[in-house]
Amino acid sequence: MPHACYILYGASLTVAVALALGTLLVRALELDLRRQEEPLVALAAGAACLSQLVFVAATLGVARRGVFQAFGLAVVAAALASGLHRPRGDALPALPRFWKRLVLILAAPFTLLYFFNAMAPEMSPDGSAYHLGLVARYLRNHGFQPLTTNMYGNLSQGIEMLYLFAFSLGRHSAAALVHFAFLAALPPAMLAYGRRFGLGPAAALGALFVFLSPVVGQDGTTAYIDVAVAYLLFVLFYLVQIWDQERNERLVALIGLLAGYCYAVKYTAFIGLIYAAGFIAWRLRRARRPLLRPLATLGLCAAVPIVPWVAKNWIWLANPFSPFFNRWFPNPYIHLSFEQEYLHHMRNYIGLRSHWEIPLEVTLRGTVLCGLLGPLFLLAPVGLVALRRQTGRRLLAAGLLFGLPYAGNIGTRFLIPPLPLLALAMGLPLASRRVLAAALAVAHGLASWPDILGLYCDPNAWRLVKIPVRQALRLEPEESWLTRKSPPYPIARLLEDATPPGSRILTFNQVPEAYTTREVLVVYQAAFNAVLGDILWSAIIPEYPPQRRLTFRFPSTSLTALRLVQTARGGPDHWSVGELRIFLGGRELPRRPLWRLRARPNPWDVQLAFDNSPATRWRSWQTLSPGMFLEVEFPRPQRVDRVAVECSRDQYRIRLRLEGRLPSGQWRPLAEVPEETELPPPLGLRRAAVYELKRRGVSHLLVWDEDFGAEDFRKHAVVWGVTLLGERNGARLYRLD
Amino acid sequence: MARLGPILPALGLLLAGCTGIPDTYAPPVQRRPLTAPEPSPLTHFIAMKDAGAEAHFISGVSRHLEGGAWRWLEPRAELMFRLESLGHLRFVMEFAVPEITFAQRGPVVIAISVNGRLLERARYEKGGEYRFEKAVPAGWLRTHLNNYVTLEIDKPWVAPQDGARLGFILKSAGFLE
Repeated sequence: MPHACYILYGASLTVAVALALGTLLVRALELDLRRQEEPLVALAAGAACLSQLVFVAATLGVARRGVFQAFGLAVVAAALASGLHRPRGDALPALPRFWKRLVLILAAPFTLLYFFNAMAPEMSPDGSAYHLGLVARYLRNHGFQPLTTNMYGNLSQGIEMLYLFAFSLGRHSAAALVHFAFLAALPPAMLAYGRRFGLGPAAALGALFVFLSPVVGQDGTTAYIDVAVAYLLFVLFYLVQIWDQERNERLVALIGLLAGYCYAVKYTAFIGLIYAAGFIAWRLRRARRPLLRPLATLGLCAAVPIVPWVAKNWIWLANPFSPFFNRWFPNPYIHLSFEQEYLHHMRNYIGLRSHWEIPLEVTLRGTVLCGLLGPLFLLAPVGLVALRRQTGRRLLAAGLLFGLPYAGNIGTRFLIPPLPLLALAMGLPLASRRVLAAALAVAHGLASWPDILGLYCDPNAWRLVKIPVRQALRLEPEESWLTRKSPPYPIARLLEDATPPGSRILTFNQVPEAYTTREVLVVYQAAFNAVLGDILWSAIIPEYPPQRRLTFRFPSTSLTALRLVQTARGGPDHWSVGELRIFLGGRELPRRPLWRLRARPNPWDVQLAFDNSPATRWRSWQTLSPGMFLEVEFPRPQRVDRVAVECSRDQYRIRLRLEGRLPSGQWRPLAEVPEETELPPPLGLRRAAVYELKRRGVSHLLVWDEDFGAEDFRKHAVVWGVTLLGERNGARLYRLD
Repeated sequence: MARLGPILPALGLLLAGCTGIPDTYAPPVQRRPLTAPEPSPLTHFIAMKDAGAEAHFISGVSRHLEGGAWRWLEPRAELMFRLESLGHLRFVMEFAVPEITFAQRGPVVIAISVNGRLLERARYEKGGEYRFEKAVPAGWLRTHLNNYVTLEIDKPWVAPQDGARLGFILKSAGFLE
């Protein structure tokens, strides 16, 4: 079967199974949905069910192509046999002909644009790096395995579970087409909402505003997940409104399942559960109806998709909400400093001089915040007029709530989840002025078409640029297109071609892991990787290796434990200790296996301060706070008269105190102020760093020319003990010898 | 939120407590032997201001630290260093030939020898601050014994005040990667 057929087969079977499961659920609950509503709700509900089943398969280690295919075909066959494909229910009121034609005329070319882009080889940065990188990994391993070196693997991946199903059959583009299915279903869902609640023209306008928006089209045609999140949140809102109209208790169960699935898809979409619970509680309270049973139903059904992801992280990562909340759930896998820096970067994109630039950036420019909504959304304040109507207030309140996570990440695509609600609110006042509204929709369509978009947006804006028919149909081979259009792709292929299976490659930037089977460790993506980066940089950055010796001298004392306490507070310094040496009578005490070493924070790296390597150091990985300590406990009382701390110079603010525990069990200060001496730069640091990397299983190093230290690797490869294996698009691959 | 304050950390402890990740460790495998019984005061590189610098002087280096950073050398000076590894090392020296000495002695040649082998004979035509560095063949060096470096200038400068015969000014010297 030609490649293109596999892609369509993989995506179609995935969507068909989701629809079948969803329809089965909707009909089992005997919900009174209209004919046009049922498949739209079924897609969301079925996605939740299929995602859950794929999670179970991945947990059991049976995530295989054959398993998915057999299951999928069986489900579809059973659905057809039982007549699930036959529409049921009354039809919604028809959309006025004018609006119907407007939607069809404007949406049709964009549907083609989006379909062919979704089917073309997948090359989106995050899609090919981790959304599908993780999916490919799960498929190789036939399921989940503890993954502690990639923080993206710690996020909930409810949509990626659908991608896993599709990827197993049609590879990368099949996954992107599954996302496209949510994009294609979003306008019909908005129209159905409008038709049910008597807002047809407004819904037609809102649907066009969203569907034609450049960032929605770009995102929804890749293996990202934002449009799927928007779809799920919108269907959740829609169902809540139906519940408010009908007060069908069985609907609460479905709302709960969908709200929980929102969390399973994206942590920040947890806001959907808050919305559903809050709205239902508010309406029941106003009607003086009992709250407990509906809210318990909602909570229990929501727990079904939530608990597996929480449990997975709890069991493997000691943090149910990893990679966040590490202060409350300290663990060896994500540093607190990383979490803080990550959140800071998400709120402050590089290149954005002021938050006042956001409106123009997200509507007209599209480079710094990665994508643009289109200039039409400069008129978004028009939506405030909708506040005059109850429907408008509900749309805007839900939109505001769903938009709250945007404060945590100001990238344009993080505006997609609340966009359908905002667009509907904009449509409400405009729909009554038909000509103006149609003109706006046409102008939005023209302004969003790739050829015209390129005339005014930033040249590097994240957007679709053409209809790649030949590439989508694989008339041009995938390899050729990706090599021409995706600079990181050849780098992934270099890893595949130049390294043996099982290689572990350390690098500083993400690579399209979906196109390599090698294990890639990106320095910022996990604590383990960050320590590797710290080791490597210790050989290059003069402030990193131990060049300060702080010596505490005191009368010889018999002790059962020693504790080095840090007493200063504040950033940006982290506390670190290269080596902690203990002496008696001018002789360093050998480190006995029965010594017990402790540290707070970051107890898991304490051995790095006792390994006698100049390339490693224990590090707090958080800013200074009083009470941080390193502790050595002796198996029996030990006389000590001197302690030397060898440490780096990148921690000017630390204040240290030495305490000892007497045989009586009492702690007492031994010395307050250490003598400080300078140490020469250690010899053999580069080799020592490479040795430490190899001890941790790293076999190769991938360095971009713009990476810090790239020139040092080029010039001193022999000194490092590395061999250049190849170079692609400004990235060099070294083998650690 | 205030009510959640004590609950969330407690929940965190409860959850984290179930994972079985140890927080107490034994000392790991030592990457290098400890410097027992008494660590050598010699290192591979010294700045003249370092507290332990004098331990590296064999002869010809002034005992007086000038300006908190440099020392005069006699026309022939000898220093010693201790190395932990031998590969890819350069002998590095930061020094100065004072301008005032050129009026008396003109251009100078400094010969640098490592363990008795001539590493370089460098000529300096004018006064100023210099940095010399040159790779040293690993075969010239040793790890378990001291390494000796001789710095010899061809023409001494005789100080007009006290008639002392001097070579040049040294700020730092030793072996670096």
